[in-house]
Amino acid sequence: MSNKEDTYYINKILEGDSNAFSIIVDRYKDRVASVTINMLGNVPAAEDVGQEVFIRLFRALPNFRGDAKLSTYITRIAINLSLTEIDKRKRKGTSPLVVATSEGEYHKQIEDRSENPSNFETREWIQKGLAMLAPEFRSVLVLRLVEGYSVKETCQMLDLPQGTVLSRQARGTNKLKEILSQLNPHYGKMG
Amino acid sequence: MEKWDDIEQLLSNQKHSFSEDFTAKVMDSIEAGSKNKASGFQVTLDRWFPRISLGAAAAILLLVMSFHFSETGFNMDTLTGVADLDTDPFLQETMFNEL
Repeated sequence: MSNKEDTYYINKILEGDSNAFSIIVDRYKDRVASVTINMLGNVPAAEDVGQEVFIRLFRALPNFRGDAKLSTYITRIAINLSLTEIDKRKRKGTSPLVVATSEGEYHKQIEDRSENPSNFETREWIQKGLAMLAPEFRSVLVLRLVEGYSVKETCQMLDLPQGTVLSRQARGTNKLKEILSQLNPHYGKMG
Repeated sequence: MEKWDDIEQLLSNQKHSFSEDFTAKVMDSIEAGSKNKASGFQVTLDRWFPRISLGAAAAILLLVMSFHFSETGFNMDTLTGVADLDTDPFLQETMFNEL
């Protein structure tokens, strides 16, 4: 969806067309899912945060000036709500992240398992690795390497200087490689 | 299959999606929120009415008690009901004055 289309639907929403908002949700829900699930794990709480993202977007639309792309704006809400959720879990002393291998195994990954077991196992392995990474590194890797945002966009979304984003990306990648090697001794030896 | 040592490739494939009824759930939440907003006065009333009632009851009780004590002075016996009109000089004096 182009910026022009986004603007068209935003105007429709502001005129009271709720169907236009459902089009926006359909368009961006997978992007939000990738951010919240990679940040929080494949648990129902990730979908709750996803819903909250769109509720906040709906409330904020009258003030949306279009300075940033809508996709960037939505991702920014998603990453910040995910970080807030991680802080809440820390304060409550609950597990910082639950992966799909536990009881909270989730529908989509079950579907993936039935379709392609090797894909499921790889995703599960990466998910575990991300879960063991500190949130400041995880957030940068999710935005830069999973979602493919530029350094500049990542800086804007996380309110961080460029040097910090680049440093966290490099350190986070190295840490993740170490973690993945520990989780799977064959990692790095297979081509 | 992905190259196992290519971390960027692995992460770029780490996509997810929500349940199929996700959009419907969001739209329901927004609709429910709009209804609450439309009847905001009712929501406020529901939230504050019990407190207002309790506060009003306490204020009325204080008013009655202050009126009572201003007329009779503070006397525990009149509150507990053990005072005897025939023997209690305080009550006798009050009653006669009123009569």
